[in-house]
Amino acid sequence: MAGAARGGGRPLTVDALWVVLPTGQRASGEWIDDTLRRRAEERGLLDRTPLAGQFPRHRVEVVRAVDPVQEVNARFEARGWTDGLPIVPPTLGRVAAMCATTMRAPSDALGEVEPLRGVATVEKVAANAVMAGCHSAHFPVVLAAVEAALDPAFNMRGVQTTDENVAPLVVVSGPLAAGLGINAGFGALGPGWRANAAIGRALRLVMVNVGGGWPGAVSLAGLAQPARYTLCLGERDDGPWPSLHVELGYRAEQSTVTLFRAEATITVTGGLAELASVMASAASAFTMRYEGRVAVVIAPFVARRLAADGWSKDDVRRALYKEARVPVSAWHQWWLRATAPEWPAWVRAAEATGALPVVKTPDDITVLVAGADLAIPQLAYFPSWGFPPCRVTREIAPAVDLVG
Amino acid sequence: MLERVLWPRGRRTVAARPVAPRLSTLAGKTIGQLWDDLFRGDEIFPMLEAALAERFPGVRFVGFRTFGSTHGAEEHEVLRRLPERMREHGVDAIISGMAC
Amino acid sequence: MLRASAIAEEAGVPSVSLTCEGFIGQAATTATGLGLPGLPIAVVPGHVDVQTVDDLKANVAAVTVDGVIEGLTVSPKQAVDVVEPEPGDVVFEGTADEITRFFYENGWSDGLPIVPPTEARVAEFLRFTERDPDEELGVLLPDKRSATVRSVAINGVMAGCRPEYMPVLVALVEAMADPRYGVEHSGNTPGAETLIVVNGPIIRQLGFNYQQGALRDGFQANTSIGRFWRLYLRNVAGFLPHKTDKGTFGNTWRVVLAENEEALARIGWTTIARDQGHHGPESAVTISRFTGGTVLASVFGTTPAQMMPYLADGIARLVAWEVMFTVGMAVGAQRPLLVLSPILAQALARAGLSKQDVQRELFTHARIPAWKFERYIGEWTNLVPGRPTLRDLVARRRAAPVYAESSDPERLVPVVARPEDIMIAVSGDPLRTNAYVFSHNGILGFPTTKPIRLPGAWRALLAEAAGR
Repeated sequence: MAGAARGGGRPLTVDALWVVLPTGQRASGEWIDDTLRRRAEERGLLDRTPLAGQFPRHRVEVVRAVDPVQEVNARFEARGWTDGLPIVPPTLGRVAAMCATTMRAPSDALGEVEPLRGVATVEKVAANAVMAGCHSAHFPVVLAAVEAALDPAFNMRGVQTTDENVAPLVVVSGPLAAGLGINAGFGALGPGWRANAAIGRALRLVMVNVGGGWPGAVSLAGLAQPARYTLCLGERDDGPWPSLHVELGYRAEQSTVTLFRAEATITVTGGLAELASVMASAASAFTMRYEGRVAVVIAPFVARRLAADGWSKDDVRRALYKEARVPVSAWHQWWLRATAPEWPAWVRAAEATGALPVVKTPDDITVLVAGADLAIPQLAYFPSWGFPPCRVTREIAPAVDLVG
Repeated sequence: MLERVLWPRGRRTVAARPVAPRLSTLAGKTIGQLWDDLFRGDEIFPMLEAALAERFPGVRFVGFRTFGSTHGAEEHEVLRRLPERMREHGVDAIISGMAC
Repeated sequence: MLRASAIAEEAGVPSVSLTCEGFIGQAATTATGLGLPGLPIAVVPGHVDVQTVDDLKANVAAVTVDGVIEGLTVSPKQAVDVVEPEPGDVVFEGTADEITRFFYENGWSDGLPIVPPTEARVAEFLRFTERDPDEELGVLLPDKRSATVRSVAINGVMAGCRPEYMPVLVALVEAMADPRYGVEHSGNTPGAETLIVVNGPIIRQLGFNYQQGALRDGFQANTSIGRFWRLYLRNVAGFLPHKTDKGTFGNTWRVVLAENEEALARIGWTTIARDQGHHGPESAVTISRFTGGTVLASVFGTTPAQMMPYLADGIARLVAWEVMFTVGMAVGAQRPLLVLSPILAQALARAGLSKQDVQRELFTHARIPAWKFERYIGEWTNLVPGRPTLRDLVARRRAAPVYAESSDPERLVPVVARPEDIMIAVSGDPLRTNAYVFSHNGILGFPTTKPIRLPGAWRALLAEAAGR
């Protein structure tokens, strides 16, 4: 509805945006922002979120301004509902278009997001997905990612509240990866592809807005890491080995989201030996302590050469398991070793050998093929954090085509 | 023409209260069963009894027939007498069903 | 059931409530309404009615047992209050279209345009009551929200009522808040819907239709007040589809039924309100809740003996599974409603029958075989568990002795406990030999009557309204 407002001389046109509020409400009716405002106040963090808890307690807000997009951004940012970057206003129309891609009802609940247990309805997830910049076609992937994150194995409560810097790693396997423009090639871990950027960001916004993972107030990560903005990539389907989803027993034509808890993203150039040496460092402290599941990315160039030498993904896993060993003397120097005296039995058992494996079994290493097809041996390692062991997979339901 | 309109709902009258303190264990405790005569509670309660008795030595149960149905024409009376009945039978905890 | 759990908690006894998976949101919402948002639940996966015994066993073992242990031994989180607007706060400013949209998108409306509830329109309604706008008529479950006179006016405006309907609306909310009615059941899965019956001089004063089309839309009083009822259930009682309102199908609002009191007076029959114990000259509303209804068309015959079997058959057919409110879950709480067109009532009265005589005749004829009664409650449904026979129920005092007169499964038994349980109203096209039967949801919406209190200046206010 356009109206006129007085400007300095020329009348200004006021426009309106009807937005769905993205913030969490518990099953019992409380808004998580009321708890968050209290936490923020206690910890002297209201400067970042001066309007925390100040919003109409309804489903929909009508924002009228000369520049309503700017106004929505200003309000949402001051209320603590963003990651610091501008967002796309979650208008009724955009949210409805998002929800139309799934057969689930907008009011269906995927679950409660810890620690403040806002209910993640399809609609709330859609609002956050719009904000993140997702296209409607991306929504089924976002839903699968949120479902995976709500699996107890992901330990959402732990991830949101720990003082460690862990971020979710979202891996998309199967034909939908390419179909939706989820980059698995050049710059797969970097910016430039809307799907990668927005899908990972949508998960983060759900964690912040529905679960209440406000930095400093609830999330106590000392440094956090850039992956907390977004960390999402596809797996190449043109490699010499079966894709992750096929390894996990899905049919080739199905598509999946797999979620890991990534303590860090470490890129390495070199062979498996260099990768093993990076794995066998203090970067893997939490992996060892909590029997974590790690992920490694291998560039297609490396994968092809290994495959030509007769290596399977299993061979790669076994090799890394065997080579990535932390010297006991180094382990004794670790801060975590001093702080946490209890270590898993398999670590204790290996002490006598003088070198400790980083993971309990080779199967705790997931191998993915991604990255540019260059004649450069690039690899990446994602150590894990926390318990229980986490590699959670959900199938992506293809988008419902409601138009013809 | 713009109009200013009023909120159509009512104020919630009940301030939230904390629940009763929990038990530290079910071993040796008396658990009362409350049932609304619906949704197969008569099958579920015995399943729970067996499982809990296995895990918690000395746990005992007061059956739902003792208290009367919590949903029905007598419900107000049953609920009114509930505190007294729980005291009579030394009930330490309640399992109530079925919300379906 | 959560109310029972809440009482245990209040008595200092920790509880855990067994909850089917599909009910979790509703349980949490109900728990908040009971003031115990932290009320622990233990989930039973899926819905129990469609599981085999083995599946149920496996599910209980896998999920519910742990939920029970946790619920009784782990302290739930500290409860926090819900922050909301204050009643009567201005929540929005916009055009009429925007207001309709805003209310709809926020769940405060039924999907049709509303009349914007401005301060001015609300004030017009408040002129038709002498009660204070902040006076609390009651507290409504499941949300336990305060039902104030002002909120009645706000929702009345929204529904498209006229200000002069306000006294009816106030009486309706008093009835809604009466524990006898049982508004807390209005979200149950059978999805029954209320019928409002209005009696007294107010019928003609406000222009209620009581002739042909008595149950049809098209008359502002009947229609808008019916709509008001559902808006109020939504906004103040707190029944929302997919949350606290779990009606499998549900019904939309029913238009208000006004009796034909001239016809009743001519034949010397009592009104519904009078039957309900309302003896005063004031007008009154009666609410009751019905799962459905049907027309008994073309009632043929000139004598009661010719007419009764068809009418009685209609009653028996429509009570059906809701005989569970006659025996078992409740005893004697089934109140089917038969609406007779004036010409049918006159025919019966001409044969010398009072309304009470008709009830007695119907009671005799509205019967079904005992085996069918038992199937309704214990085989086709499991609504009176343990597959009891009627003789079992009589022994347990869950049924009147008439149900155990023999053990012949073919013996005919009544579908209500007493003749006077069959409610009879007179309305509809005065010259058509049609009747209507409503099937009643028993204690889950029990007939409740309230007088309509008028402001001292009623006549003057009405005259003024008529001049508008």
